[in-house]
Amino acid sequence: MKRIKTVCPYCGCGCSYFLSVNDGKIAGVSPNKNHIISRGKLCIKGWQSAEFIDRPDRLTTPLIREGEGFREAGWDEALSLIADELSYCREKFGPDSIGIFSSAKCSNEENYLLQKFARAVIYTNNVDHCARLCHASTVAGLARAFGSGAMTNSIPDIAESDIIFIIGSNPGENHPLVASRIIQAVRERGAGIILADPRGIDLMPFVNVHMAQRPGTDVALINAMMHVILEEGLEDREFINSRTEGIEALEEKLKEYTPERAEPVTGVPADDIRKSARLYAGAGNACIIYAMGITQHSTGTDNVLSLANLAMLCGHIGKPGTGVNPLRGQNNVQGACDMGALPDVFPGYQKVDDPGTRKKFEEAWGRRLPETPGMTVIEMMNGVLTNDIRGMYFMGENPAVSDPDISHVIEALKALEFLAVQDIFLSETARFANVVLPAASYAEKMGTFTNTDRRVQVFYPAVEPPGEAKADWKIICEISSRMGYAMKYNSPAEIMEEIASLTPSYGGMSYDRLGPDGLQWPCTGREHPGTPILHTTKFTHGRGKFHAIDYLPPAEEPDEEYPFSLTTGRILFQFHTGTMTRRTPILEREYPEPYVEINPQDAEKLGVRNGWKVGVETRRGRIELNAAFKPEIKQGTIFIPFHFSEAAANRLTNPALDPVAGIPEYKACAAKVVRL
Amino acid sequence: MKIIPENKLADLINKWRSDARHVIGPKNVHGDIVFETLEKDEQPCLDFLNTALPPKEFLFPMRETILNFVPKEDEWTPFTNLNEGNIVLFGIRACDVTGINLFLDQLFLSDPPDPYYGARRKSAAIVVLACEEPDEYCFCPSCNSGPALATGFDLQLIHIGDEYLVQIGSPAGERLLNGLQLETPSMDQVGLKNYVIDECRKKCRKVELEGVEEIIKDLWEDEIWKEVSNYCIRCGGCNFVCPTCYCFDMNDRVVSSGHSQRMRTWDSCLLRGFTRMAGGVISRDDKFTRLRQRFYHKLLFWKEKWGGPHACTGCGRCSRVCPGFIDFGEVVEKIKSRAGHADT
Ligand code: SF4
Ligand code: SF4
Ligand code: SF4
Repeated sequence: MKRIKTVCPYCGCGCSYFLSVNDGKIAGVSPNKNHIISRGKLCIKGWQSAEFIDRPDRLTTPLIREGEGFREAGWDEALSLIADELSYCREKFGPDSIGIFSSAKCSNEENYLLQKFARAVIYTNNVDHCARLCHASTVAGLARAFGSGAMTNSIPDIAESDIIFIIGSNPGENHPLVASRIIQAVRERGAGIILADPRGIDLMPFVNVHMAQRPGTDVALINAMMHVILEEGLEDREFINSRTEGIEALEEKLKEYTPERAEPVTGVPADDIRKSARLYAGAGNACIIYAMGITQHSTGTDNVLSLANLAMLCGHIGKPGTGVNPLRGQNNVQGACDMGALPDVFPGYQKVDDPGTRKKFEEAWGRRLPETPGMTVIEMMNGVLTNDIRGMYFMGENPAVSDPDISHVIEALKALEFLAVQDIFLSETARFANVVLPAASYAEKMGTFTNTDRRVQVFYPAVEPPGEAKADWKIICEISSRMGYAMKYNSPAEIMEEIASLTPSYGGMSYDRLGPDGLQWPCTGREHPGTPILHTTKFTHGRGKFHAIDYLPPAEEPDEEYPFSLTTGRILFQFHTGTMTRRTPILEREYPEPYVEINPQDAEKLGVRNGWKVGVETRRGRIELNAAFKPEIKQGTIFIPFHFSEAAANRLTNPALDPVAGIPEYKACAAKVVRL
Repeated sequence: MKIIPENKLADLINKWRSDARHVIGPKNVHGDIVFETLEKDEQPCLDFLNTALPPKEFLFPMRETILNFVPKEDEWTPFTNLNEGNIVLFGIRACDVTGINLFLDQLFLSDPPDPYYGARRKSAAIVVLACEEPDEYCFCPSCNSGPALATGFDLQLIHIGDEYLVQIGSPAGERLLNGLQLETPSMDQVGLKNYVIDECRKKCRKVELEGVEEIIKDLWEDEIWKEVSNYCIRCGGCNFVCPTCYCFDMNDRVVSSGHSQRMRTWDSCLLRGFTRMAGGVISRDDKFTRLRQRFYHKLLFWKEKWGGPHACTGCGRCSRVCPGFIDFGEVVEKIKSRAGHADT
């Protein structure tokens, strides 16, 4: 028996543990008592993370489309075919006819190489990944307010908070080891929790004030909280004067946002807004924790900016137990963003349209690089139907379940002239591909992941990939070489050296320094110890910027025909499109079927009983699934987990986009429920 | 009883290896101590607080394939090689050996015996390393299962100064020392051994379990289960790490047409799906009913069924592993504080 240190492939907490290996086979999981985030604990997904690795239906050889099905092929043939097809698209339709989806499940090194491949080899900035669908608005919003679009504090730090304001996040289900710190703060410091959530969360018993706002009314709610803070003089003037700018416009704006006016919009009693505002502003240390409930809106960037406003107004930032803390959903979604798997930035958020930056990368990579920002995930999909995009390359993404309005996505996938997918299973998306390449899972390769608290950690190979499957970074190198641009790296450590040389915030990272707990960026030099808390003495771009934000209603509001507000999300036991968790018997056994959460009183009006099959319909589609009664969910709101392709919530969701970040509105659309 | 100098331990381990035994021992991997195979020339780390997982996984693996079969044709062949060779579990702790001796053996070796567990158990030699230092959660003395054992091992080592005192607990243990010239300890050394164990015992936390089975009987409807389960985030860890937990799940998977496998994996009664029945009924759907089940099992049901002690060895792992900081000792105290206040 051997134990190989790894990093969990699921959520952004970044738990480390050991994979146990016996005779070259995965024998189980063993917690790591010594690790700063997991501390010998894991959530059920971590405990079960060994199960999907050796499933017999892993992809083991390249596949090439033949008629309706696939035939097995050798690597050489498959790679040459991809290189030829991509070259053909590039010659015939121009480089911007190619779209590339990178992956929040792949390592930093792999994301780095894939965006380099897009930019230097294909000559396009059309590279993006699923962060577009989760935290694009965080990256955009926090960068504007603070100059850095990431969690300001660290996970361990949450245990030092006195008041924890949780908005649009359900840590007990989605970030269990963050929930552990919250519980620790409650137990050890008697910390209080303010919750803003239409649905209620797993940590309900510890919540002091629950504001059940209508989906999509967050700006109105936060503005009203700030109104109270100013009205009662609870703001931190010293902090505002010395560290920020733009308060005047905000103060002016907030005048109209009285709690009484916010009440009919948000559905939250004015008194609860006042209470929450006082608790947050009056706390010694108060932190804000948020996730998709804030970001996945057509006003996602506004929501994020509003939270930044709130934190700066009270000076609750730059100290332990404070901050604005987006919880990132995938184990490496932070890293994929850091590595520039985004259409407008190189690694380290260095802008592609900045000539100086471009010059630096052109010199390093030895190629001329495209100047204008590329298309986002959503724009690329739309671009297929307008013939702007002809060929696509997906590394481990599954838009046929994960993207909004998937009937539209499937139409696009069918219309593509060429699609190559590398993945560990034949996903719903891979079924549409011309070539499918078998990739190694996290347990079969080496690399680094960056978790939600900006912690870069190494994971090690535990077993050999099945059959002929290969690590994604090796696959990218081979295609690139076949397209005339040699990528020669002996190991992921070498790729990290290149990353460090071009990315200031990763400047001090190298495998020999990434010890048991990794290092948190920014880490700018060999001697730099990493940064657990951002913005301690000044903001990344100098002064923090307040933004005066107006409340805008969701793109689609409930009406006579579609009277419910539908919101979607994850549950503890499944993960995203279910490629891994639905192949894990113990996880699948918990919630094997799709369901819609509905308030029992709403259900009664429809004549529906708990467990009955119902139809849920929006302007985009209809699915059938079981009704699950949930007394805590606000009347008029329904919730559907998006993991189940047999009743995919994303047949229903609205692809309306946030104008800044391009993130779709998964968290609010108008729906109706019908009794079958 | 024998004495072995610290620097001679390596000889002992090398000897076992040359007898074609697989030696499993504590090792430092990336700063944490875990049980691993000690490969050629590798030596164990002997100064450690107990591991995150108990060594039960070497007898009852976290996941294993137990059958290969051809679906439909009623044909099956056992998959696991039941003669895996001999292993030495070296340096495992008294509480964990108690888990094996009193609980896993009872369950898996009672009629009808489990062939997989049985085969591994028969071929495993147990070499205990008595603890010198507990951590804040250890309470083995309260469960009569440590820091050292009176019986139930092949060998037991106790660290005294620069030497280890070796107790021989079985003929198999005797054979493990074959061919080594070892001294017999002096009176002083034996005295030192008692002192070392006593010192460790004194440092352990106390969790008084006696009589708790009588109190818990009346608490089925008590609020305590809801209160405590508020902290549970449904990770299942308290089951996985417990040396007296043995539940498993079985599931079949198709490898190719004409070849399926039956897998056995550790299961957890804290999970909702644990009581899922055909048709979708879940008898312990409320979280508190599952947490209650675990404490009733440890403190009452096992005793009712098999007699003997409570199903807890005081290893403290469930407290360490719990992301919600649910502490076994604290819950026991809560239960006891309800004596006489029962609702029913
Ligand atoms: S909390 Fe997140 S990172 Fe930790 S084990 Fe669970 S899914 Fe994995
Ligand atoms: S119940 Fe807890 S303390 Fe007792 S043996 Fe099990 S894990 Fe150890
Ligand atoms: S370890 Fe704690 S959180 Fe996990 S299942 Fe057990 S009681 Fe619940």
